[in-house]
Amino acid sequence: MIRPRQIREPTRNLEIILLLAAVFAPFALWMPLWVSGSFLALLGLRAWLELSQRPLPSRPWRILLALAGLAAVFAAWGGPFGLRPGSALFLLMIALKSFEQNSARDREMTVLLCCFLPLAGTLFSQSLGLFLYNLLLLGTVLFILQRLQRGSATAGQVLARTGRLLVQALPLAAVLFLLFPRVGGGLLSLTPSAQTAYTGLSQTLAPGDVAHLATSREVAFRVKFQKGIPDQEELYWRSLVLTRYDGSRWRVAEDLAAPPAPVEPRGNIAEYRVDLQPTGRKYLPALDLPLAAPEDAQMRQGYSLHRKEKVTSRIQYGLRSATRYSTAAPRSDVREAALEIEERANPRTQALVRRLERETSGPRELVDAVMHRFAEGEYLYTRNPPLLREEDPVDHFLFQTKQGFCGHYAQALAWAARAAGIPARVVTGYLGGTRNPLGDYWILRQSDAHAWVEVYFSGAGWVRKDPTRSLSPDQIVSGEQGDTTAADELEGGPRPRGGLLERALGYAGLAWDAAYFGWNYWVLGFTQERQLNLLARLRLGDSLEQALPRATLLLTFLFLAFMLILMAALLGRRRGEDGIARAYTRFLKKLRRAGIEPRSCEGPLSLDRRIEAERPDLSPACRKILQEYIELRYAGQGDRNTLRSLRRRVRRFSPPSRLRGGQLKI
Amino acid sequence: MRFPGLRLLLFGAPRSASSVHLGHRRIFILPTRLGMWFGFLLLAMLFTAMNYQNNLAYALTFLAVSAALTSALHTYANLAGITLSPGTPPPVFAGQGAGFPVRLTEQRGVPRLAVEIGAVGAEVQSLDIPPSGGTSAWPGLPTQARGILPSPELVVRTRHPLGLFQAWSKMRFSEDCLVYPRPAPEAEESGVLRPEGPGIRRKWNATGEEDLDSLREYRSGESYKRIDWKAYARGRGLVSKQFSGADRASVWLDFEALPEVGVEARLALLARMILDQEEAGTMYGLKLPGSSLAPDSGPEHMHACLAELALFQPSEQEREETT
Repeated sequence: MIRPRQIREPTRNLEIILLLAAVFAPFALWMPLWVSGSFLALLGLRAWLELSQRPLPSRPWRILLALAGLAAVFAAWGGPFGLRPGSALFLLMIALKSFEQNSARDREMTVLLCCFLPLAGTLFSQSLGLFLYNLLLLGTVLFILQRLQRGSATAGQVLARTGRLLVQALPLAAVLFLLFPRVGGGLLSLTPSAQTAYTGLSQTLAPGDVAHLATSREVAFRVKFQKGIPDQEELYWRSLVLTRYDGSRWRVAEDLAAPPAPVEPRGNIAEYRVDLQPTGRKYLPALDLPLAAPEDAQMRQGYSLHRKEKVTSRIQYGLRSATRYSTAAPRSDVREAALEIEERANPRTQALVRRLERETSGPRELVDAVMHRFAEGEYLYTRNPPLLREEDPVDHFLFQTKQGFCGHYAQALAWAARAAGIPARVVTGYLGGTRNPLGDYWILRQSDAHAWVEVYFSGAGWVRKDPTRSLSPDQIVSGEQGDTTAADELEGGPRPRGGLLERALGYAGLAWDAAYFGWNYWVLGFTQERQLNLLARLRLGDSLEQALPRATLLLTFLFLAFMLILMAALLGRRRGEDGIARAYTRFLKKLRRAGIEPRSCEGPLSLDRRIEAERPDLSPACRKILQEYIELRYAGQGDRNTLRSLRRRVRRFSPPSRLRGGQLKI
Repeated sequence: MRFPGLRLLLFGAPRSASSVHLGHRRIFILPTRLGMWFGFLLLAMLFTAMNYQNNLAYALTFLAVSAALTSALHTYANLAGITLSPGTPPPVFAGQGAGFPVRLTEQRGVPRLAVEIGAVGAEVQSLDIPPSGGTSAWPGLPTQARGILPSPELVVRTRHPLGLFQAWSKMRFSEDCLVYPRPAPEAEESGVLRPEGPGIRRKWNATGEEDLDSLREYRSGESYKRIDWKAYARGRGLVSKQFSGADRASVWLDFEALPEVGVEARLALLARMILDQEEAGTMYGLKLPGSSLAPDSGPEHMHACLAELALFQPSEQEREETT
């Protein structure tokens, strides 16, 4: 009796050690030296034990080492929570896990756990190169998992099968990536905190401050209006109100107690939700003027909203704002704060104000006259203005450089108003926004950052004055986009020239840049907003509430379709598989229906003899079929025509079904 | 049979005489323990990706999810379309392992790798099936007592390719295995069985030594020992030697004549005697209460005698003797 050889379960310990080393490699960049050192020492020890066929350390030793690793992580970070300490702990534990290789399950678990480290790696770096490396690691994990299974396949065959598996998995992965609902982050409040740099408005304003924001296309926040969409020119988004002025910088007046004077709406009230990107600060942008603060925030003096916690992840809040309003008279301390200036500074501006006071009939006319001066004088709007002097900066701007952007004009106007005894303050925030027609919401980018002025007129309250608005279009220096980006340079730059190698390198650089741009745009930048755009384009609905259920339905449908198609492909017959066997199987099936059960050990010749004995009526037809089958299969004769003839005969072979009992008696 | 799969799962596989084709109604698939762990890991990965809103983490997670699901389809496809055909299990002596031959064939034209087959509760063996080909398996069962060993419930399963899912199917064939009684130890040692001992009654003793008398054409059923292999090597075809003594010598192996040591012990003795007589090349007959087999020799006769022993149903009186 020949029994098939039992195939021994392979150990593949060396492959697992190499996998661990490969998984660790990028972490050398991010981990402190002692973590990298410990990991490599442990892995080296493991490799040495493996190569020298020495026994692995016993269980107490492993537990001791694990406790030491845990203690070290606690000592270094105070706990295992967070990206860096968590990764360090995971690395140390997986290195120790490789010492526990008693059974197939231990090995499989070690390999499986390796999946998590590439994921942690993507949180450290999002470069294209690292992502490709992580894909390679995932493939290696699948490769070794297969190698751990019993089987006689060679490494090359397993590699080919892994590749096929990954390629087959791609469509579903892409569908999941595009349609899986992107819900808000911060599920476990493990979001990266201090290290991350945020872009946004700063707490103070000095000439030139907003310039760095002007070039950033980063999204600051998004707004969806539910009711009362204001006109485009009324979209002033207030973030900070800068009342204190110390001669060089404008600051938020932290000491002025809330609440501000009451607001009386006049006309339209807008209802909307703001989806704010993390800023790392506490202010919440709101449409001028918010009527009440959201739950976890308060309204400060100056009607700016201030949150209790810093905004470190995306948050959403709903607000109501009056776009036309009048405010009651502020308290005296607020009024006084809005009048503070250094008495001897900016003499030319003071002289100008004195002259305007004589020429105009009241505060409103005076402020208008200053703004008129911006429009009539040779002022220019530019994002690259010359630097202002440290002393008398308003004089320097108003009478010498005459070039600046919103911050310069706002400060000059506010200072001039204060010099005339009119309470004034600088407001920073965002202006306008771009409506996304597909998603029906507004996007405010950092480049929309703006500064304007609020002046107090008795009777009307605080009134917004935007000096930049008074500039005419031909005063704006066109084409000024601040720093030209690398992409722009490449786009408009000359074609690569020089020798073949240089040109090739030049084009490779262009291709890499295109890939990089595509990577940022399509993969890294695929945010909830972009997902919503996609869903809207697929006609699944414009709003999150409407589109998400349908997207989930579509996802389910596509998932099932994927499974069915792949299943059909896997179960389908291989092309080129011999039609001879298929025809013969079909013939045997028909015979079975006729009451002749083919035996598994039976060749065509003995089958022929049995048919002759049991069903002589079928014998002539069957004999021809069997002869052709033998010719094709065993004699190595016959060609396409024989095969065709065999198929035809089998097709036409239709024996009467099994004879009923009593008719056939032997 | 409205829910054949459910019935198969709940009540076990019914006996089937012919071959079994593994289709979607017969194959079940579930994640393995490793697959469960992988599921937990994927959930952790997904939560991490959601927590950090990291698109690369999403991409890696989804690729891993998709690869795992794709591997489930591969696992299923590795089993689907295999045909299992039962063979006749050869009889064995009690105490030996019974083997139930099964031929696994595949027609899809792809190799089936790491397919495991075995009797439920017994050892499984792992084998590969070549594309458009077949391979044989011998799922085994240990045997203890003589009689008919019903064909066990067989399980065919695979965890190929990743080990995250296991697809399996169960079936039971109607090819039973005949188990002969375990033969008693060597006759000489047992003390009971000497050539003239009890239980062996020479009807007609052989006169003198067995001499080669003549050669005649081999008839099927005759002992292989009688074939004149030298003559066969000379190209004279299969001829069997006829011994003048042996031809007439025949013995009766009688159940009743054995000492009253219990039914199973007597059957064991008889089994030993049958083997010994067959070895010696003598003609022997078997007498059991209620049946008898005329003296003859050769493998067919030996198996017929052993089968009698295997299927022997003792009467009440004889059963009492056992107790």
